[in-house]
This record gives sequence, structure tokens and C-alpha cells, in this order.
Amino acid sequence: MNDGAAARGAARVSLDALLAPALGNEKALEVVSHACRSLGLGDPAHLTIDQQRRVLDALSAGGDYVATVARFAKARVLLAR
Amino acid sequence: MAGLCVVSELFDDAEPEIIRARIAERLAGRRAALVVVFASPARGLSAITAALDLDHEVVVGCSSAGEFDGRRETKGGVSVFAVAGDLVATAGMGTGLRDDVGGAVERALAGQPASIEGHPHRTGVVLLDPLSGVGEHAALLVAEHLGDVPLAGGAAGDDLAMKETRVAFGGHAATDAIVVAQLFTREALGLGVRHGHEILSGPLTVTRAEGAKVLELDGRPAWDVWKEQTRAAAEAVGIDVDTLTDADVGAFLLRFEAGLKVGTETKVRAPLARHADGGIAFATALPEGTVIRITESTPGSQVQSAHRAALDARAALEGRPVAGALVFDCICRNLILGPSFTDAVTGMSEALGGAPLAGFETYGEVALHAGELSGFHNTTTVVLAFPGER
Repeated sequence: MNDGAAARGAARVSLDALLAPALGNEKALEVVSHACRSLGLGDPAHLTIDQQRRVLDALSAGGDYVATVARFAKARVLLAR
Repeated sequence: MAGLCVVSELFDDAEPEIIRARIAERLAGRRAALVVVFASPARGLSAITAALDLDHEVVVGCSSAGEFDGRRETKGGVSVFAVAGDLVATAGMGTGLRDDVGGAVERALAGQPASIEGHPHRTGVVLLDPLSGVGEHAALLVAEHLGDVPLAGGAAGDDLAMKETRVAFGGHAATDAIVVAQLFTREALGLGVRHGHEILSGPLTVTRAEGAKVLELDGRPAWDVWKEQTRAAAEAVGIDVDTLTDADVGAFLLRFEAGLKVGTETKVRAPLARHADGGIAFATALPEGTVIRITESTPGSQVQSAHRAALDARAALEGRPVAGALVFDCICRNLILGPSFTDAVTGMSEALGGAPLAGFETYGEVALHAGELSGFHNTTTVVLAFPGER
């Protein structure tokens, strides 16, 4: 993240769209929605980049397939911004 | 990429020393930087790679379910691709893929360099055992380790037995393993990937799964659902889903694969085997909650998609001619096309300007362009084109 203002702003790409290539649309939306609820965040479609990072951190915490997909999305997209 | 020399050779039935001698002859005695071998389980993969390893820098390979070059295909044979000249190849193999995918990938990459001076472009080539059931997981971990590097590759086959698939590095072949090779080049390689499948069924939710094994769809045994959903389409191509023998099931499943909706596109996941408990084993994980749709394809779209993949790979070379190409082609294309599979092969060759190509029929494919978020595919043709001199 190069720009602090951008970090606080609305994300341009939804998290489920980032995870869908490996999980499919429906499963991606399910895991993101579940993580948002667990973290007390709002609508998954309207997360800030910081909130997206929190969701991906939570999803990445496990050692399973979904965790790898989340960690990869974080490295490839969020950290590249 | 000055001085690049690419050769391919298809063997129907040859001993390792004959293959070694023929490749040496084709290379006019040059030492290849990279040799890739695709061998039917009937041919003894490790003996072939061991023989070639005596003459060349890096030799990798895998077992296959059919082999081809730019003119024809064979079964029970060996396809060899060798490239000599101004590129540097490194490789490694990691075993224990099923139980420790992260560790296996780390072992495959251990000691490999991140860069080679004077060769600014890096491409990964991945060969893995699909019966370990971690195809996408492994592809993403390789990509995570390598960074924003394009990947190409394939999942090994075993002539549709669905029992044991192998990958090889040097003279050593192993099951439950992954091989990762890196190619460092002066100019970028060209990557193309396409599939020709379309949605057949409505949405089906994975309601019980263990790793890559799907036990239930919509609360019912997965195999029962698969038969029900494909019955009419299978009948149209002469398949009775109620009388399939164990030997027929692998080929049947590879005609009617699972599709994930990704945006408005479909990404295909390969079912490989039926289990006695009514579950279906896949080449990669499908966690509970995943929604799939069963897919099918026509012969015409199979030929067309292979051709387009080759055109994409060539276009990615941005005007440079194709010196040669590696092709990783899903076995489903061969099953759907039958004898007309040769049309797909010659179509790819034509799209690549007649350059030497070597390929095999896979149980899964790896293709990841820089910046993409998924690297494991099924039903696709993946073409990795090597640039020649302008």
C-alpha cells in the first residue's frame, strides 16, 4: 500500500471477485460474508481496502486450501496496490 | 533469444538408449538446457529421463495418458521436447504432496535461484501428480513462492487407469510429487490457455467433502447426482450411465466435468474417479459450499479452443517467430474427438507456424499469467511457446 488515503478508501475490486477464480463465485461470496460477520464488518461489497485486508488476514489464518487462496489474493492484489 | 535450438520427437515404442541417441542426433550433439519427457506408464519414465540426464542440463518429465507432436498422437508412447541455446533452466522435485503440499512445493524449489544475470524473463513449468488432489493448492503455492512469474504445466496421466501418476526430475521418478522447473530467458515466452466446455446442468452445491473427494451434492451421493444430470447428454454420445464399468468411469467423468462460475466465465474442475461410497475424487479441492455445474463440449469447440490457445501463445511473442512449444492438453479433448484429435494437433501446429511441438494428454493443466489469481485448470489446452529470432 503506497498511499494512506487509498488505504482508507473504498476498495475498487470486491473481495469475493478476487477469490472466485479459485473457489467459484458462490463459495467465494460465502467465505467472505462469513468472515465479515465474524469480524463485525458490514456489507462485503462495500469494504475499504483496510477492511479487505482484515478479512483476508482472517481467512489466511488457517492452513487449508481457502487460506492459501486468500493469502495468494492478498499478495497478488492488495499488496500490489 | 539468439541461437535457440528446439527439437521434438514422438516415439511409439523405443528403448531409453534409442531415445537418448535420437535426441542427441537431432540436437547435433548440443547439450540441451532443458529436456521435457512425457511417457506412457508402459514406457518406464525414470529409465528414459535417466538416460537423457546423461547428456543434458535439466531433464524433467511425467507419465501421460497420450502423447503427441505437431503431426500426430500416439498411445503408449513417449514425447520428448528439448531446447538448447541461450536460456538457463533449473528444476527440483518435492514428494509428499498429498499430506504436505506446502512442504512438497518448498522442497521442489529448494536451492533454485530467483534470477539469472542477463536472462531477465522467468517462467515456471510445473508437473504434478493429480491423484494427490491438491492441483490448485500446489499451483498457487508455487506462484506465491516465485512471485509474479507466469506458470505453465500439466498434471500427469496414467493412460486412464487412474491408479498412479508420476513426475520425474533427472533419473528419479515419484508419485505423490511435484516438479517445478524455472526457465530464465532473454525474452518472454508466450502462454496461451483455452477450454471448449459449456454448462450442462443447473447449480449443484457440494454439501459434503473431504479434501478433493466430493461425497455429496445437494445432500445426495455425488455419483448418483452425476449420473442423473448427465444421463441424456451421455446417451446422445452412446454412453449408458447405468452400465458403466469401473474401467469406463474415468473417461466418462472426463467428458462431463465440473464447472465453477467465475464472474460470467466457467472454470472447469476435473472429476477423476468414482469411489465405492458414492463419492467422486477430483484433481483439486472443492470445499463444502462450493457450487458447481456439470459441463460438456462438442468436437468442434474442442478443436477450436486448442487452435485458439496456440494462437494466443504465438501472439504473446509479439511478432517473434515460434521456435518451439510445449503443449499440455486435457485428455478430455482426445476422448471427445477420438481419431479426429489429430485435427486439434495439426491445428495447433499450424497456428504455431509449424514449429516443433511436444505434448501430452493430461489430467489437469497449469497456466497462470502474471497477476492472475488461479493457476490450475481442467479441460484446457495450455501452450507455452518459445521465441525464435526475428
